[in-house]
Amino acid sequence: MKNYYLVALLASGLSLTGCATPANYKTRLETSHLCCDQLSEVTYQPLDYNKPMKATLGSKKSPARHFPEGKSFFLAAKLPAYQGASELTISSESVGQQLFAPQVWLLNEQFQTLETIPAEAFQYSNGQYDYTAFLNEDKAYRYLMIYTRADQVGKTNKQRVAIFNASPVFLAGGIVNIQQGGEANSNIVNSEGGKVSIILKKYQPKSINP
Amino acid sequence: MKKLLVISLFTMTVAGCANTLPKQAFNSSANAHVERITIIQAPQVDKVAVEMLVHPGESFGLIGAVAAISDMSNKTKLYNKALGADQNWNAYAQEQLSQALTNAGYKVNTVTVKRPPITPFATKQPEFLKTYPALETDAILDYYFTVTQLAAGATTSYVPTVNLSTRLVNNKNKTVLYQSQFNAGLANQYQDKAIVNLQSSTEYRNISELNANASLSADALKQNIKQIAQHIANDLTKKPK
Repeated sequence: MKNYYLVALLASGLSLTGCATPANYKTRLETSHLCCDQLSEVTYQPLDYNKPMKATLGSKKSPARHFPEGKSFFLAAKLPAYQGASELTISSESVGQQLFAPQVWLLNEQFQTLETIPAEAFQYSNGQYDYTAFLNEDKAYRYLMIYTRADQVGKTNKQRVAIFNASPVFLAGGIVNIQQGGEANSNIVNSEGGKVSIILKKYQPKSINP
Repeated sequence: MKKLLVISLFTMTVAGCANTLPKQAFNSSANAHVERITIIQAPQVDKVAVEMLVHPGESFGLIGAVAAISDMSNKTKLYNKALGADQNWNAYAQEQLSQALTNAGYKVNTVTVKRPPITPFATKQPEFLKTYPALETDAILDYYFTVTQLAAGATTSYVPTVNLSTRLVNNKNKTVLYQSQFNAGLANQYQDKAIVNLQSSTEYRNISELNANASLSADALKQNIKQIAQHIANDLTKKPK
């Protein structure tokens, strides 16, 4: 009987935390080696059309550098040759209760920032930040840099969610799993690290009758 | 009957997970030709459902399931009686969308087409039209929505909740220029991340409090509709090249 309760408790706990162990991104950032004073010194991972690029910023391998708005882990990508109107989606998903609030620079061949997608442009919903940019013409964007601003770290995104769990009880000699609905406040805090993904695809609106 | 109940319960349990649509952001520069938007009237919403995502009865097999549905149906009936007959959710949603899109710089008109109404506890999920009538317009905004006083379970509050799905279709080639789903009110733990969740702080502790504040709780639903309409208009706002 006790085991059933334990399993239910663990299951509900896991479902609430998303099975992740909270990482101490703050300490990792503080102790991480800095790289690349110049943007030209950064290693940019090649991004291809239709091939999502995913990274955990704040992992042991994550590079960090000083940005105008503070020290940050970053993800740097080299954009493929322009192939016509394209859709660039950048997402950040929470790790436990921590979420990386991205800010994006689009750089030219000389590593100069041509455009900034501010953190405020990202839509927060369900423990995730998303933003889609359209590249409708070749504006000479060649590289992309994702980092977080120091003033974003520590901000809390609150959301009330319905949660479900089952509590086993003895009834008429048998065990019945009583389904229960409850509520939880999900307080996702912007942090120094998190999971970030980029996907680039050609802009091709789909027909209503595929 | 048995099959129907099982389907109903499944629908209730996974409400919010079902029928998730792929999100399509609006490329305003590539679709600068869109100046006129025709909004197609959503399927008729006559009643506000009073629902629990997990009803205690669901744990007790078929008899419990029948009791759960019966309980929620009775609560829905009582609540809608308290609200009165004059609930025009469709007109309100249409007005909010028209206004928000007009403010965003579009020429907006609306048309009504025959489509199945949305009834509380229906097993069939609402959907977009499969074909559109011939219209003199640049793009068609199709949408459907539900209005619910939703509780997570028996011991949690009722939260005025609106779920709305929408898409903007290019009238010439019938491609989807924009598609999004919204939940304003109570989101559920397993809700697809593609659904945009908008928060609502209004809640009613139990069915008595909900019925006693029927009019205010309906206003909260309207506020949610307005919030979603504004969000859609923001998503469709024309951006400078």
